[in-house]
Amino acid sequence: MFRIIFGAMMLLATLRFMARGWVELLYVQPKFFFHYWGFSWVQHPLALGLPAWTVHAVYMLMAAAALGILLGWRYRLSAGLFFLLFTYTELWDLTNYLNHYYFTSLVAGLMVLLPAHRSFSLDVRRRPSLAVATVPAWTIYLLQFQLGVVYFYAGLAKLHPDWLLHAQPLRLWLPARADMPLIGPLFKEVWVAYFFSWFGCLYDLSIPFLLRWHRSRPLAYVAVIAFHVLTWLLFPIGMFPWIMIGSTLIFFSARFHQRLLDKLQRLLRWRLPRVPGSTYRMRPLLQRALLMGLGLYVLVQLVFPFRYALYPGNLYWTEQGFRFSWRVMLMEKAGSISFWVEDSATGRRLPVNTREYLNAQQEKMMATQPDMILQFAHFLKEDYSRKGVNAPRVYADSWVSLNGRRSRPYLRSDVDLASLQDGWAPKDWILPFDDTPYRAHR
Amino acid sequence: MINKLLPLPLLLLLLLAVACKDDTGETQRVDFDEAAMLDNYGSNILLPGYAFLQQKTQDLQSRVADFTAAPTEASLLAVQQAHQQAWLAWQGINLYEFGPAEQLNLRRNISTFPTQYPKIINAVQSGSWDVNGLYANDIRGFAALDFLLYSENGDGGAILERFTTSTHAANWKAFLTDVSQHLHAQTSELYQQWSPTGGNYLGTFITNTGNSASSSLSLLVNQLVQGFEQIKNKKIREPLGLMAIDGQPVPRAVEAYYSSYSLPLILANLQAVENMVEGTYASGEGLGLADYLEAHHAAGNTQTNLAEEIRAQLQLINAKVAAIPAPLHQAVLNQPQLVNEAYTEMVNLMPLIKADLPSALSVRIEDYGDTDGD
Repeated sequence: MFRIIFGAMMLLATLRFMARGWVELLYVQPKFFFHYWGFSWVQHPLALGLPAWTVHAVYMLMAAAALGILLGWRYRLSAGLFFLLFTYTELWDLTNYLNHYYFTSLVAGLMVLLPAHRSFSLDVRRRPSLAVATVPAWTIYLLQFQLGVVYFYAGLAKLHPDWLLHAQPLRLWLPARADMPLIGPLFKEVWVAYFFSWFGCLYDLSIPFLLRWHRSRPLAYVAVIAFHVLTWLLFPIGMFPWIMIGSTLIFFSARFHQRLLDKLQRLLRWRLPRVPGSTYRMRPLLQRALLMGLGLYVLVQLVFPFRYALYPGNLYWTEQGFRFSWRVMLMEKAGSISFWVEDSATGRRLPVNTREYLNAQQEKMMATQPDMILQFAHFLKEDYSRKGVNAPRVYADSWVSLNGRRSRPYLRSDVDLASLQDGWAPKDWILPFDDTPYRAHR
Repeated sequence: MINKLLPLPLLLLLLLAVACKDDTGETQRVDFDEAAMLDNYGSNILLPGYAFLQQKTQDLQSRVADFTAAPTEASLLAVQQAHQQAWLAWQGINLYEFGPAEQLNLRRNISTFPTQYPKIINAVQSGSWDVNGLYANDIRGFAALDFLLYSENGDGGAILERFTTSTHAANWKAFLTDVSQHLHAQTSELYQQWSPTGGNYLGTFITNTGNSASSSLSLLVNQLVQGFEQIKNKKIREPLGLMAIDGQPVPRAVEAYYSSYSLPLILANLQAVENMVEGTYASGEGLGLADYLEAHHAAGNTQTNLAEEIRAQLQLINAKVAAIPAPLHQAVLNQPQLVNEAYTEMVNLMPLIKADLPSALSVRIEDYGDTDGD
């Protein structure tokens, strides 16, 4: 059942992405793409000199793979292909990083390993011997774990003074939706922002456990639906709410899923023979290896989001260790940045017209993310030396506003950004966060 | 079983809600009527502003007709004055390039500068041109009229000669007529599209509430930024030569090279920026972005009073621009440091309108892509 939901969601998501013209906008039109650290070897088709239609072709192939997952057709191949293609397209441009794309990538990767095609699939129809009635519990637990991590860590991230004590950024976001019918006017009330902040935090922290416990499960699932529909109405977060509403069904019992499947079979008038008593079994050695690998994966998932603690400074400000940590909807952060390039022979300084190279979205995302600024500085260095500037040095005047605070200078403007390399080391060229006590009210 | 459990979380939440209220003493709200603000921009600033521009270009067209019928010093002066009036009217609303203005691509369409005067001379000499064409931006609009109506060295006689005794006098007249008609046609179309009796974009604009990328609020904020960048980059930075590899000033890049009218145009444009921030219209002041910012500040949502800071910075910019000796195309050569000071203060406004303001009002910048707010 999870396979069908996941396949359907991914198919929808991919088609939606294509239908909105985002493929063209995000992956064909830009002249410059930001790569992920450590993944600069992943080449965008355009960078390989391939024509633009290949980018669209990748998306079509991805939609086909999602359909394959949905129908359970050549499942391992479909799932593998989907995982690779989805991850590949995400790696094209760091600008478009979203936690729920990361989540999708992870789940797609896990799905490749799971025997999700052993029931109610075209594969079973093709080779009835594949059919099984039950699968080992760890396959279910794995997915539950992944979902639990997303929620729980998102909840942990909300245990932050800005979120709990100042209701930021919700107190900025909610009034903007005051035009909504019925509940709209409420969003202007500051207490509503506090209520939503606390409720969201509590929800994220508790929902994996409430879903696990069979007694609280039905109510918890109602909360899941309410929570995600609300976020879908309030914020432009695309398919994510629906993916979560669909995915969390994995917490329900096998009987529940079997009933759903039976209903679906009746609806489709396509009944597959049940094979009672047959259990999915792996070769013991393979299973042991797989479980060890997955154990390691679980450990990494648990520890990796905490890497921020190793960095000095304010996490929201420096964003060192921010990504891949399920930190969602936590910041209203905006920046304004202007670069200039200095000719090291003549000392002449040229301002850069950023929009010549980047679209508005890329510019906006870059302005608040140091590693992206660094990449762009390196790109400028190359571009301006082609234009005839001697050994260009790249400087930036950057300002960032965070959660309603007045914008402040962000990076050291006397450091040649093109001379720096990105890495795991703390970025000491980010100016310290001036955390003057937040003035919550007059 | 469910019934038994139901009150528990609810009770907990209620307790929490009450607890947080006590924690902070916050009972305030963002006291602001966004719909009234949009109505002010649409009904008091833009629709009358477009009507005013249309009327001024209509006037210009009539003065051109008078002049071409009987070119005299007096009729030339009348055309020049009508041209300046229309140009000033344009500065009042050129920031708002969305809706019909965006469809008409108005900034490029009627306000491309510097004009390509060799192309104009060629056209007049050859006797064939099409000022309505797709690639005619640089031979039409205000800057082309600036070239047609003014002499580089301020010699009015030379212009009169162009339209009376020169070999191609008839062509010069016809070209001038075509350009003024194109300008009037564009501004008329703009007004028509906005007018409640025409395309009624006014109605669309006023009811397009919310903060999505296509909302009216978002259009306003984005155009405030982009419109201001036009002033900063096109009208100041380029003539200063900051973008040129050799670093030399480019006097001919100013907006009104021939009439030496660039600085008054910039000041009028800056006044329009201030009006856009405050919601000021010709005969009064309504709700504007500044009021929205102040409502947020009053509710404790922003750390500083951004409206005040923007106001102060705009005043500083105004003073710096006013300190530049006219004409601008000589100032960039003779006193570049004064122009540079104005430019620097313009740069200093950017974080406020590009980071703080959109952030405080939760305005999205582009109409694509999902977010998860990080």
